[in-house]
Amino acid sequence: MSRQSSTAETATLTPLMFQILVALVEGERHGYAIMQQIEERTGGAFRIGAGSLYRAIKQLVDAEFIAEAKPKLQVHSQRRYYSITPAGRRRIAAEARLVHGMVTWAQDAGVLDR
Amino acid sequence: MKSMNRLLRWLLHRFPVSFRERYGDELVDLLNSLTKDTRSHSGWLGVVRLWAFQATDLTRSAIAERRAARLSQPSEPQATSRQRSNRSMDGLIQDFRYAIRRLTKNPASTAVAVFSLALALGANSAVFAILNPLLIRPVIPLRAGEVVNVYTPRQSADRSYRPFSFREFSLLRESDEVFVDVAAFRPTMVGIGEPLGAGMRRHFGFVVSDNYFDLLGTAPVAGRFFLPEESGPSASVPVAVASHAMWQRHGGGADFVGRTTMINSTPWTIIGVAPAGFSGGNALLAPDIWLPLGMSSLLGGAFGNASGGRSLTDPGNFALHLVARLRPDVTVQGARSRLAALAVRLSESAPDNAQGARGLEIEPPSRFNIDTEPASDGPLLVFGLLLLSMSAVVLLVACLNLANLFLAQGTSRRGELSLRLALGASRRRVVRLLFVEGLVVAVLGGAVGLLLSYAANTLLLDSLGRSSAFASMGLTLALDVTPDTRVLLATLIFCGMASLVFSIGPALRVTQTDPGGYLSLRASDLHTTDRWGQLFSGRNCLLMGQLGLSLTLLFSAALFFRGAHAAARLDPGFEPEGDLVAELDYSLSDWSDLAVRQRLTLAVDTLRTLPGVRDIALASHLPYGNVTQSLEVTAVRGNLARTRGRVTAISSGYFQAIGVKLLRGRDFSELEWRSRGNPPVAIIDERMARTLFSIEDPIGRYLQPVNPPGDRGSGRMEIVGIVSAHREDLLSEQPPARIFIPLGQDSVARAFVHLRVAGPTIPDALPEQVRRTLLSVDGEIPLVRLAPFTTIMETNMELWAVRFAAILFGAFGLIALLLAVIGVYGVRAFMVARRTREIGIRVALGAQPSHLLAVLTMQGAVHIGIGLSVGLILSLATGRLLASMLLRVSPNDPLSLAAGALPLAAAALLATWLPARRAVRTDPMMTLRHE
Repeated sequence: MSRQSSTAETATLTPLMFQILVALVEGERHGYAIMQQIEERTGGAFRIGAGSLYRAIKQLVDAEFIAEAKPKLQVHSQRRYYSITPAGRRRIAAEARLVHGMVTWAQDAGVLDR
Repeated sequence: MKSMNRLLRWLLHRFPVSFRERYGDELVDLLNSLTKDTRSHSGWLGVVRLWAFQATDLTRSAIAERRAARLSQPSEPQATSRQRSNRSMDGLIQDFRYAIRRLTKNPASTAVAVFSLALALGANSAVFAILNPLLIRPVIPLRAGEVVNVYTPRQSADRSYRPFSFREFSLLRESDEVFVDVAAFRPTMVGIGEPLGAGMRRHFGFVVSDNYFDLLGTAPVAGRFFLPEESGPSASVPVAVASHAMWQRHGGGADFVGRTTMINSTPWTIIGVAPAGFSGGNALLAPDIWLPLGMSSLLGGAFGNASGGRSLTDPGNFALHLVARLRPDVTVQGARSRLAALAVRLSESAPDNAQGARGLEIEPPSRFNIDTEPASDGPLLVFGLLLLSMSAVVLLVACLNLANLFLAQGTSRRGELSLRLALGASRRRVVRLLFVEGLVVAVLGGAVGLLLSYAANTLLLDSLGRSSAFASMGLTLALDVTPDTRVLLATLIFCGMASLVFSIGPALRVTQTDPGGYLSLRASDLHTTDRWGQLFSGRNCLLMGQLGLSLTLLFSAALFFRGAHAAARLDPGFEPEGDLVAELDYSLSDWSDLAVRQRLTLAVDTLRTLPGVRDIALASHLPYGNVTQSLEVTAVRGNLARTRGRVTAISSGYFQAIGVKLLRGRDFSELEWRSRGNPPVAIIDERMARTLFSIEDPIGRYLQPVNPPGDRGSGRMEIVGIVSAHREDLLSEQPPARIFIPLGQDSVARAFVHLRVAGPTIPDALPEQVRRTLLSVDGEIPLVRLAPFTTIMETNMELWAVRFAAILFGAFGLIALLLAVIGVYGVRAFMVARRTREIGIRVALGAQPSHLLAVLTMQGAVHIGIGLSVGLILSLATGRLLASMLLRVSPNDPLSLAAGALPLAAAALLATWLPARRAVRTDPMMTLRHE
């Protein structure tokens, strides 16, 4: 395993981090909501473990791609809401473009044809 | 749900502190919501699946996070590996010193801990030391799986077994479809060493074929084993192989081989010595000597039956037991399928096939029985397993008790331990400290326990071996219970496990510094939220189980004691008081039957003239004498009933001599018992009369043995007398039916002379007079025993077995009681220690100390009550089982129940009361300041 963090410039984000960022682009969310959103969007293909989720969140926070936000409505005092930072937006955009490029190539190569 | 929360909290603790602080609460909240939602749409099954996945994920994340945290830390100056190991060694030695210092400062509690552990470990290693040679240690030296015993049952409804003849043995030995080799042996008793005369010692031995040792796979440790020419059926070479024990008894010198020894008062040469521990496949009894088949006709049988005197070449002489080694390519099952053909060939050679063909059977050899019928070792195996599991449970219970004890201590040491942690000791270090303390206690306990168990075992076996029950039969025990490496290793493993169980658990609990955990601990003991849960908490359930188990063991012990007591008091139906018995074993001599009779009658007639001897008689068997012979008979032209009766050959005047009433008919005449060739007659007891003839008069009718011996015609006997029923052994509720025949009707091997005096006590001078008289009549008389009948009755094996069981159960019961009481004390001490603050407050606020004491004690008493009730149910079930085995005990014996329950309840109550009293007594100011 490379010691380099997945959030470094020269590495790719893990799929989970990718999805967390995308979920947060759509709006501020807390952990459970992020998890539900991901499971919904990927049609249940991804089962997220709570531990993995928070590890990924921690790494994203440390890399300053997401930040803890003051929630608008304080329903649960223990539910921390997260929002994406400008740096995070830039990063997810770059990442998505990269992945899009790869998928287009695969499409052209006929990978996705049944 | 609570258990899930606990699991979750434990899993969370695997994460580094920083992560936990940041995301711990969120994680818990997320999982709770997730669980709720999953339950509503997938039910409990979904929840279980969810948790299986989430728990794994948490574990993996925790590991990854820890590794990441470690890698990102600034590296400390790397100590060299030697420096590091030195440091930890110093720490370890320090820990040991501290542990010893601490233990010596609390001698009382240390003594209790070491003592209870010693008891439990001692019990375990004792049981293992006995079971090891009895059940585990291999007795057949070479590839025991291939060795089987061979039996021949009659192919008819009654499947009676008999030994083999030499011809049959040779035939089987030559065949090779099933067996690679077949060896023959038969048990015998010989008198070794001292010349035939008063005080000769009998020894158990085997008469064997030359290939016996080879087949079992053993080599001589000195000299050699038998040659084929020495074990031919008519060879008469007087050579013998001694056992290792016998060699040691004679000094163990190199000159033992080649020495001449007197056996049955003829000189024999010792040609070899068997290796130590070789007992011919028996785990219990070891022969002292092995003799070649060629000398078989000169040697008697082992248990009084005169099967030895005939030559092996006689095709009607069935005397041999066979042991065989299967071909390596054949399993036992496969061999069985081929036996039928072999059996047919065998039948063609046997002269008694007129009474029905015989088959062949093979069975793996029994570890305990030497018999012509296959016998199962099952009961002893079950007994062994029962014993082992009993002692394992006792050990487990002791460890958990000690865990409680340590926990209670640890709670009061919280201050000291938190100080250590605050001063920078790692949690691992503190846990190690407590573990070392536990280890020291465990090793001390183990050492004391090993000594205890060795002493107890040796004592037991010595008393067993020396007890007249075995010695009188000339048997030597093969059991060797010196702890060998296996036993020591087992004890060490037990010690290790014990210390793990009872020190690590509490150590981890006590060093928890998590403030959240500590607070929740306090909360739970201030208000008993879940009363039911607290009542049946794990620790308390264990306690109640201990109490129940102890009660059952004590009750069983009491039942056995009562059984033994009742058995000893059982009315035998005859009068043993005032009867002096002399045992003459003519199987140890080589005289002809005629010569034996002459000497015997001469001895009896001379003894009759002794002053003080009122009656004198002879018998071939002794009631309560551990040896019996049975015969199955039916009545001629009777009601077709068949019954088994115990046979005794007697002289006239026997019934008078032992105090049994002659009800009808007559006793045997002098002619009938002194000479052979008279018309066969018999005397039966009331039981047999009732079974065979109901209300008709048996006198004048005839008895027909179902399997008459071939050379005596039909074996039909005329019934001439009826006697009252009397016992021959202890355990059967109904004494078996008896048949008496005159001594003249059978060959004589053993003779028991009954000398009855007037009155119930035997004059002190009489035994010596009898001895001198016998010696003067016949200088070579084989007198092997001379004792009052009452003394001999005490050596009955069944009586001994019941007494032994009583002591065994009693010992286990006592150990269980002690442990249960210590357990109660430990748990109550811990409970009370946790509530010290509360108690102090209550007392300071004015509560009456005596009232508090009563409340606390009652709370403990509830557990005792439940435990004893559980024990009561168990005891009643056990009682039913035991009552079926023992005589005259009722399964619900209230006296035994009380004997078990009362001391247990009293001791447990005391153990509940003491810690409460101590807590209530302490100055409230001290307890409050304790925080």
